[in-house]
Amino acid sequence: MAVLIETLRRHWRGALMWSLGLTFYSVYTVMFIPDLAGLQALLEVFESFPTGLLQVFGFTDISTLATPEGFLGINMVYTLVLLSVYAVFAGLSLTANEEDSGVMDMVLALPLHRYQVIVEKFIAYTLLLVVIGLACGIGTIIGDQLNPNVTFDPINLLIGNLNVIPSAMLIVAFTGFIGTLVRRRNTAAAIAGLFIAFSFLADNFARGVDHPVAQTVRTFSFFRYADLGNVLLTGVVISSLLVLLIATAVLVGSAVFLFQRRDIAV
Amino acid sequence: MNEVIIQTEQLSKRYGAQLALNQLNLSVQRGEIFGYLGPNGAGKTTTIRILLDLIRPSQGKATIFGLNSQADSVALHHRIGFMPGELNLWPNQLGRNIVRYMASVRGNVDMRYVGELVERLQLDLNKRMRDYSTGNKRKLGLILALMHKPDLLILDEPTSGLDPLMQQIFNELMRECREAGRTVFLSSHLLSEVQAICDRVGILRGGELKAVETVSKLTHADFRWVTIEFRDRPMLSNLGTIAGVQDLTVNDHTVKLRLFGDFDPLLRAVSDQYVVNLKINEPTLEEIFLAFYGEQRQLV
Repeated sequence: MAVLIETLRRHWRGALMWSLGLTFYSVYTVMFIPDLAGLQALLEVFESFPTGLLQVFGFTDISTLATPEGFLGINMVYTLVLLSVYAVFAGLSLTANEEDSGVMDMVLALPLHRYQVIVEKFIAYTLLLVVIGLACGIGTIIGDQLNPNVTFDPINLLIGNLNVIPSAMLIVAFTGFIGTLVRRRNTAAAIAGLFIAFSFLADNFARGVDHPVAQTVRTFSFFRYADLGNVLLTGVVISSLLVLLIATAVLVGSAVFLFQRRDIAV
Repeated sequence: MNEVIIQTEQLSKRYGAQLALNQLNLSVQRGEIFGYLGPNGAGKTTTIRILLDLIRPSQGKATIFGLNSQADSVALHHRIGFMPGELNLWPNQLGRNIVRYMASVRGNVDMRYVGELVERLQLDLNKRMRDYSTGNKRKLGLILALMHKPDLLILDEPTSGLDPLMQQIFNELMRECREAGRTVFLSSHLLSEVQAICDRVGILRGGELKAVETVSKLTHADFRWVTIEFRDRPMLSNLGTIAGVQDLTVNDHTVKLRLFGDFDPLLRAVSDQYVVNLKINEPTLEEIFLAFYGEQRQLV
């Protein structure tokens, strides 16, 4: 447990900063949700934009904008996009940072199994992500209290925000896996960034196109399973949640498998 | 001194076409300070990284305390203290936090002993890693390697960056380890470092172990390169006949020679001439090796 505790000790301040930042973002987002007439007017403005442009920014099904839940759901997509940055940094910390900087030799000269380094750090970052997710949830509840135009169920707000966490965990796992594969921090960060951008765009475009290739490509986007835009309208989709969690477990397992079997880079 | 602590059998490591370590057969006994000597790129660090299971051998195996260095690495690491050639640690962390973390992973670390080490090495643990000088990083590395009183110390170029005073303290610490029955395996490319504290020396070159000898036996073959600059053209009729003088070359007012043994006969021979400058150079490892084993055995 020493690696887990040390990871928490070193990174709780960073997680706190992220929590505060995303709490403010959440408060701000909910606080300024307009009333139904305002939402309708906003929808009409969005409908005047080209579809392609809206898709690039994640507004595929803009009719949901006409409801407070749909409006907030779309903003949760951006919460995940912001949280992805944190998740990439966390994923790099699993092995790539220490291996790239030569610290790993000292770490693995300690009485530690290699899997411990990955698994304990992953658990620590998951705990920090949950804290950040809860902070976002609290931010939306505060925003809800401050905005007379909307009334959300606080439990739904918490669940909706925590629904971001499995996707963020997947990004941590994916970046960690790439880090163990390529061993270099910058390369791993670049690949993870491309993966996030691909997932975001593939999901947005495919949702507006009824073509089998687009749907197949969308299968590889984690945004498809995050289903953030609809979570407050339709609730958490358990099957999607399971896909994210299983993919995360597979990626963490693969990272451990690779890391156990190979040489540590100089 | 009979118990074997480190044993390697046909240990090889290949990186693509490059053979970094070639069929290393090495044995280190309990309670000795073993110097692993070789020029840069000889395979010293590769050997150490295999012993610590940081890299895996392409062929052969290594055992430490009778346990397989790969399969039993975690159990072994409880008993091994390691200091790398270049200490890389988390730059933003305070020294004391690094020590505390390493101690918490190891468990059973006597923090009073850590305090003693810190005092002896005069290291300020309230600095961030990035603010430590090279010498202070070496000190921190030593503290981390010694903190749990390991049965085996593996040190990669341990004294580079240490000032002479600290080098002396380092030597004392190593001797204390030996007196406590612990074993030290240290790599170096400096003969003087090895001569000062080691019992036996293994000479590695091009990934191959060329020799394992006691320090006393190896240094018996020791010699120095001597360059004497005279004010006038030197009278050298008797210089070549002096005991221990070899490879004499004369260039105008300067004489260069290889001297085995004592200086006195040479100094007496040149005492009647005006000496402007006298330079003494330590032999390279390769030269020592050749002197020890004879010129006919060329290094690979």
